[in-house]
Amino acid sequence: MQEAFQLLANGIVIGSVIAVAAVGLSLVFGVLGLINVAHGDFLTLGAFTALVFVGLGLPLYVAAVPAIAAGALAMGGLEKVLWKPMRDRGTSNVNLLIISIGLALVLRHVIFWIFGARVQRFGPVSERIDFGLFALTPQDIIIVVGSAIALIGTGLMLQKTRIGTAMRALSDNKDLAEASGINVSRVILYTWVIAGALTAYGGVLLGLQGRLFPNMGWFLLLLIFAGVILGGIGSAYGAMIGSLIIGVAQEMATHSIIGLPADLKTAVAFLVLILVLLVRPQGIFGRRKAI
Amino acid sequence: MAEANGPNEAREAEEPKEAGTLLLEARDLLSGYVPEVDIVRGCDVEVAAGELVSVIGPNGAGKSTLIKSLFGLVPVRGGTIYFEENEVTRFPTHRLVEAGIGYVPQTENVFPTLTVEENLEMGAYLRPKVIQERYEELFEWFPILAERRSQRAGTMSGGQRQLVALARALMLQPSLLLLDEPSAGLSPANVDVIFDRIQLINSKGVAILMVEQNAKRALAMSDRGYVLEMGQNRFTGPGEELLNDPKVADLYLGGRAKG
Ligand SMILES: Nc1ncnc2c1ncn2[C@@H]1O[C@H](COP(=O)(O)OP(=O)(O)O)[C@@H](O)[C@H]1O
Ligand SMILES: [Mg+2]
Repeated sequence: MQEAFQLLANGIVIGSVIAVAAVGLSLVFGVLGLINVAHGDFLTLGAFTALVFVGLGLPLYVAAVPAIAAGALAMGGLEKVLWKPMRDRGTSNVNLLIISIGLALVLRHVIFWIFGARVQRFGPVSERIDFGLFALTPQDIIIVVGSAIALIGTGLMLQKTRIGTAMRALSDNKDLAEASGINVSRVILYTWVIAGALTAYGGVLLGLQGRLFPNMGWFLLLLIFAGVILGGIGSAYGAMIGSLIIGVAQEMATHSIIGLPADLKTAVAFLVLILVLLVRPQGIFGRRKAI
Repeated sequence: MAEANGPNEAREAEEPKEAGTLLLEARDLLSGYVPEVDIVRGCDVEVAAGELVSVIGPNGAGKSTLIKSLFGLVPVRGGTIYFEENEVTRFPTHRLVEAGIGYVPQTENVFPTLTVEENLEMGAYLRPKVIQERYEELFEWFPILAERRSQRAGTMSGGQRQLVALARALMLQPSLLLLDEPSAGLSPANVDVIFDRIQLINSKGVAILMVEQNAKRALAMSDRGYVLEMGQNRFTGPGEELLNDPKVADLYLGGRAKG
């Protein structure tokens, strides 16, 4: 029993990180229909930006601020210089997806070139605290609380603010949003900025969970996609729930009763994804496209 | 049959309005979706302040395209559009909204996952300060929406969704409302409701340019009408006159109008 609780706790920790990243991906997808393959590398960007400031002697919670700003600036800037000009030229979504693959490679290699392949850490990981049924490091607890704050904040933004409502309106029907007088380009820009901030923040949390290396975000990307698809593509709330399920499923798979080697746990996450999609092709919170 | 000349002046109204002042004036409009293929081919459209004008014509005549062109949703290749005496040809849609034009598309005209209130809020995205004040008037015109203000629009009936769409388009108090087949797909009872609300809106001084399949009813309640065919004006005139015109009746109304 103890083992199950421990794995559940571990799953929630990694699921929380995936969730923060997945919500950003989902917002962009909802508003633009763009599958941004470079999304994972923005996690890396956030983590390494924070690392630079940690290196300057700042505590991590302060270093997270420029990291978040860097993510927002990078995604917002790319909307201005890359995505919007491409869309204005009528570039198809498939081509945009290919471009995002290229962008992913560029980002990763720039980070690799600056920081090298060496695995780095924000600092030493502290001793686990025993909670009886499970034990977590203080870092783990910060990750879960930090994610919860970001996710609740995003939910409130989507539900209670004008820009959040406009983002939902755009994912419902972009043409109608345009026809209602919503400045669609501006809402799209804000969506990128918010997604960038969230993703970089997710990267800091991911770094806190363990190690920093140039592939860290890229390696998480498949799990992020899995979380988004499981929750229902384009639904931000779905992405949150889907990611948590993915995180928990892959940790639980290593339970001694199931007895799978840790190497296979990602495969289990995808097995869960496939099983859910067989029952609900639109994902947990997804809507079937209107006919 | 009258040529496309000035709108008829005399009309009864519950509120005084500057009848006769041209609100919208489109000349020789050329527009289409794909390069080289013009769908609207030299249309003239006029709407005076406070007028109710219908556009009828067979399927595929370009009625929806005409409305979208006027609203900046389809690229205009030729001709001019004036709104309140300013040239607005090729203005982006949000500027036309700002200038006082509202639009309700033929299909998918609500945000399904947004509540009724949020749908209306999006109609006033440009001027959020007016939202509360507009709710009051619009909930008075559409009491059913007041009851259902927290319901998601996607879960409502077709008739109710049409009301949400109308209310959304009225949030910024437009002086001109463009409606694309507001009665399409509705049950007869709901058609009555929609036409009744449209007349109410018009009686408050909002000019309306409306595309309708329900041609007889549309013409009967309109000040003027246009018959569109192959992207061009075929007939133009006062609603009653078109309704009783044998050629129009035979070609587009399924036989002579009675009465
Ligand atoms: N989005 C579009 N892209 C290309 N062609 C279109 C599009 N919408 C309509 N058309 C074409 O434009 C013509 C007029 O359509 P439309 O304006 O919808 O007619 P109506 O509203 O009078 O039925 C039709 O031939 C139709 O095939
Ligand atoms: Mg049409």
